[in-house]
Amino acid sequence: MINQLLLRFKLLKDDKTLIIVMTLMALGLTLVFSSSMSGNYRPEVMLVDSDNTSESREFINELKLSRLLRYTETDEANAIKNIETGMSIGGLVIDQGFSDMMRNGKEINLSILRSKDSIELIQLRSDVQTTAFKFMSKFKTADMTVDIIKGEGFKVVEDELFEETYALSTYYWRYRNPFNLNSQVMDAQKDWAYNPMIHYLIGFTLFFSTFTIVFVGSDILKEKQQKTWQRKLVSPVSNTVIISSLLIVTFIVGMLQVGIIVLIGNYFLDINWGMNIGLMLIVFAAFVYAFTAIGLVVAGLAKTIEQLGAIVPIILVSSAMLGGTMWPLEIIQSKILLTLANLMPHKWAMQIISQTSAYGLNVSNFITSVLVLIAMGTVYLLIGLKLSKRHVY
Amino acid sequence: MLEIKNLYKHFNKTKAVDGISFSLGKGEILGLLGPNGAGKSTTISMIATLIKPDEGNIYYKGEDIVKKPRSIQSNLGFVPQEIALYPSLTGMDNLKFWGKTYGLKGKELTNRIEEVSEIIGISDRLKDRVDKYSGGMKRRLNIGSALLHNPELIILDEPTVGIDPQSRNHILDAVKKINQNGSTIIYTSHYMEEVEYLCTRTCIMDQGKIIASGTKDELIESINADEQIELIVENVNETILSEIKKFSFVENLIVDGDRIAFKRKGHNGSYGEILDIISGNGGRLQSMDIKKPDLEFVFLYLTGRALRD
Repeated sequence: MINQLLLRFKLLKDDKTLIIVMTLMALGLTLVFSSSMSGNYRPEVMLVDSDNTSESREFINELKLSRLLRYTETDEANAIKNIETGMSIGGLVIDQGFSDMMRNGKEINLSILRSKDSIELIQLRSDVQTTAFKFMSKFKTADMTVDIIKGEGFKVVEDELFEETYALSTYYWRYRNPFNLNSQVMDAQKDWAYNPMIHYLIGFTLFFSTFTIVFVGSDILKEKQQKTWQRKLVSPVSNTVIISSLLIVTFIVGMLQVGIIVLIGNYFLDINWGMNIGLMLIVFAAFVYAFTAIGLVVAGLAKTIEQLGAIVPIILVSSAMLGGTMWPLEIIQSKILLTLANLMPHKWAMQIISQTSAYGLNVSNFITSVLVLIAMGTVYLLIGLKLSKRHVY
Repeated sequence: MLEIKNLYKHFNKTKAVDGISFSLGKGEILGLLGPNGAGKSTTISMIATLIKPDEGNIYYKGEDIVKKPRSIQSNLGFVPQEIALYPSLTGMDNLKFWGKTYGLKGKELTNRIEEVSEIIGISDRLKDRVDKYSGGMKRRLNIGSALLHNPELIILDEPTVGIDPQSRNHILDAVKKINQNGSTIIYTSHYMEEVEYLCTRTCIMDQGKIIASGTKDELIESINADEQIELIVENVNETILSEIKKFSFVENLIVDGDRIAFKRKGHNGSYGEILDIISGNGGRLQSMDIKKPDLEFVFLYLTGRALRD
C-alpha cells in the first residue's frame, strides 16, 4: 500500500497545474463574492406602514437596524411601482390593527409584496420573522413587567414604565445577550437570518473542489490507456489496494484544497463562514469522500480520457445545480428536482452548513448530514469498484 | 509448468480465442505466432490473469489460475505490448516501483535493479525521465520492469513492435539471456524471424485457433514442404541437365537460359554431387540459391495468407 501511495504522490506533480488553478479559482471567486457581498450590498425593501402607531414605528425602527436589508418607507402605490420595476426586491406591509393585535396578544399579520421568488425574498422573510420575534419578545417583556409591578400594588405611570422597560430590554438584547446561556439560536451577536453570501461561498468552494476530486477518474483512465493499470492488476497487489491508494491521495488533495480555501478565507480574508471551522471541515471531509467515490463511478462509465473530459463538466455542473450550490433549494418547486437533489452530496453539505450559519448548530442534523454523505460515498464507492473492473483489456 | 485446456474467450459476437490447448515445460521459450487479431494477446492476457476465460482451464504448477489467480501472479513477469511505464518518472523510479510491487526492498531491490538494467542496457540512463527515452529504450525498460523479481514465467507480448533494428537485436539477445538464466518464456510476435530465432517451440495462431504447433522443423515437416534450388550456370549443356535429372531427389526441373531450377524431394543425396557434375561437364557455377521453407511459408501454406496481411 505504501508503495502505491508513494507512486500516487509522485504522480501528483503531473496534475499540479490543475490542482493549483482550481484552488486559486475557488479562492478567487470566494474573495470576489465575499468582498462584493459583505460590503455595502443591502437590497432595498419597500416598507408600508398602514397601522401608523407607536408600536408599528418601533417595529420599523427595529427593521431598519437590519444589516442584511435596507428598508425604505413609502406608500403602497409607490412600493408596488418600485417592486414591479425591479428597483426593490419586495415590500413589507404593516397592516392596520398591528398595534391592537400586539397588545391583545393575537397573531400578527404582515404582508410581503413580491413580483417573483428570489433568494433575497427568503432573506426578507427570515429577516422579518427574526425582527418580529425580537420585537414581540421585548414588547411582551415590557408589558409583563408593567403588569407584575401593578399587581404588586405599586403606583406607576404605565406608559412611562412600559417605555423604560422596553428600552432596557432593547439594551439587554443588543449588548447583553439575554438567552446566551440557553441557546445558540438566540445569539444576538450573529446575523442568524439566512445569508446568501455564505451560501455562495460554500457553493463555490464545493463546486470547484469537485473538479479536482472527480479527476480521480482521469488518473484511472490514463493508467488504463498506458496499460500500467493492467500491469498492476496482474501483479500480486490487489485491486482494492490499487484503488484505495488512488482514493486516499485524491481525498487528501481534495481536503487540502478545501481546507486552504476555508482557512485562508477565515484567517486572511475575514470571511465569516457561519460555522465552527472544525465542524465545517468534518462536513467537507464527508463531502470530499462522497465525491471521490463519484469520481470512481465516472471513471468506470467512461472508456477514454476524452470521453471523461466530455462527461465530467456535464456531471459536475448539473449535480452542483441540482444539489443547490448555485441557488437555495428552498426556491425550487419541482418535486422531481427536489428528489434528485437528495442524491447529490452538495445538498447535504450545503444544507447543514447553511442551516448552522442561520440557526446555530443542531447536533442531530449535523450527524445526519455527515452520515448521509458517508453512506452516499460508500454506495458510490461500491458501484465504482464494480465498474473499475471494466475496460481493462 | 503451464497447461492450457480448451480455452475460449468471446468479445460480444467475436470469437477471440476458440478452444485452444497447449502446454509449456520449464525452461522453454514458446512462441505464439500469428497475424494481428489472431488471439495471441487475448490468450496471454488470460494466462496473466488479466481477463477470465469464458470456458476452459489454465493450470500453473497444477493450480487452476482461473480460480486462484494469486498462485501465478508473484511468479509471473508480464511485458505488455504497450509501454506500460510512468513517463513522468525516471527509469530508476519506475524500476523501484515495479520491484516493490513484487515485494522487493532494500539491498535486494538495489541489486536487482543493477542486474536488470545491465541486461537491458540502460544503466547510464536510469536517472532520466522515461519520456526522454528513445522508443527502443522504453521497450527495454518495459521488459526490465517485469524481470526484477526473477519470475519463473515471463510473458512478452510483441516486445519489439515499432523499434529500430539495433534495439530489436538487443531485446532478442536479452530474452535469450533471461531464458538461459532459467526463466520460462512465452513470446508472442507476428515477426517470423524473431520466433524462429528465439523459440524452442511455436504455436501458430489464426482466428483464435492454434492451427499448428511444434518445433520449427516439425512444423515445416508437417506440411511436407520442399526446398527450392536455383542454379545459375555458364555453358549449360544437355549432359549436365540429363545427369542432374538422374538424381532421385530432383523434381520439376526447369531450365531457362543459364538458370536451372528444381524442387528437392526427401533428404537423400547431396548438392556436392550436382556441383561435381556441372564442373566435370564443362559448366561453370555462378551462383546457387537454396530456398528453405520457413514459418512464414508454413503460415502461408496453412492459411493462404501472409503473416503480415
